[in-house]
Amino acid sequence: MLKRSSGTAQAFIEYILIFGLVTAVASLSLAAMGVSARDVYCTMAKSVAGNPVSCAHYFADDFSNLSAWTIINGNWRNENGQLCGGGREGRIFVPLSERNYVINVRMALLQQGNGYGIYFRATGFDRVDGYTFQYDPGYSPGAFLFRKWVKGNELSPFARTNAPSGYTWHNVSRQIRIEVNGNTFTAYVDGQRVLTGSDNTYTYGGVGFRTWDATQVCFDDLSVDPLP
Amino acid sequence: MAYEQSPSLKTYEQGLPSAPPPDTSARRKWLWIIITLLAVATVALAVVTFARSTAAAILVGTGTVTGKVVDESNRPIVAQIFVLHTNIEATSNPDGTFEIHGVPAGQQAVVVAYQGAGREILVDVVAGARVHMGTVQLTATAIPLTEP
Repeated sequence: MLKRSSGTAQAFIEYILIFGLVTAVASLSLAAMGVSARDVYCTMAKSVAGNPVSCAHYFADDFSNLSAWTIINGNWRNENGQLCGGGREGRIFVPLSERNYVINVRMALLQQGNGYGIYFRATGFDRVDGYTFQYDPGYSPGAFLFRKWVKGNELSPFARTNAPSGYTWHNVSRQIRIEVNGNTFTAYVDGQRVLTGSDNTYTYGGVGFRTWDATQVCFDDLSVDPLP
Repeated sequence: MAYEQSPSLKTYEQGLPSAPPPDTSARRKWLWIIITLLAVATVALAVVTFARSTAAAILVGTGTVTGKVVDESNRPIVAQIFVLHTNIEATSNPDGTFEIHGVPAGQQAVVVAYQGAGREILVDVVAGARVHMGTVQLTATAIPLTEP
């Protein structure tokens, strides 16, 4: 009896050891590939059980109030349920820990000035590290571009494309979509892909908005979702 | 049959058993093969993860990076210098020169910034050696930051 008991206990230990090693291999594999466990969970959950509430959005805001947001500088305010800012350099952020996601801004309306930016993978908001997609009529002759930020300093664009000739920059509501996937970022304006860029520096972080100079801009209905 | 797998005398109190006790040696052998493979995979992945960490970068050795920062008129400026993927930050001297110690060996991305705008420069750092980046010319951003 004693021998059978010890044999059973030994087998139990072996199965525990296998389970632990499988868990370790799975976690280290995900980390080596730069994939978050939550991304995997949401992908699996969506394929099995539709779209669980916990995976529907990483973040969403209709800007009925700005309580979720951290204002670093600038004149940000809630106007008629929209987030509006401008008149000088402005930065506003919301923190996220996710690595890969899709940013959707249903309405972005540049009323005046040289453009606005949408931050992604942003951390250390006081001295921000991260990226911006910029809707930038001030970048001659008018361009869409990706910039990297290092400790609050903007670097030269690592991806840029000029807008079509005659493009209407101001007083037209635009839908902006940015796919943040690994080291590749893709921007869409009104459903049209306008820019793809690549950089390896930052792997996770929050989102935000940027204004500069005489920009006046309003945004509405932001969502940050898992990649499709 | 191994001694420890031999049935005890109590097994035969009620007569001969109808079937011999199951031989678990083959099953146990496969379990330990699986455990060994998983352990090897765990160690290999742990090594890969560590090799990509900052600690590993420091273990391979460090070097010194020097240079000089000037503005668009070639005047020396006091700029900020950052080494990406590390906590290394420095400021250039009033004469524009800088010297950064303890930079991990290998290709490093060095950012030189002035008044909110910067440039990223790739530098090949050699352990135990000094690498001169040369003169970096920066143009200040046209839009100064203002307090909220």
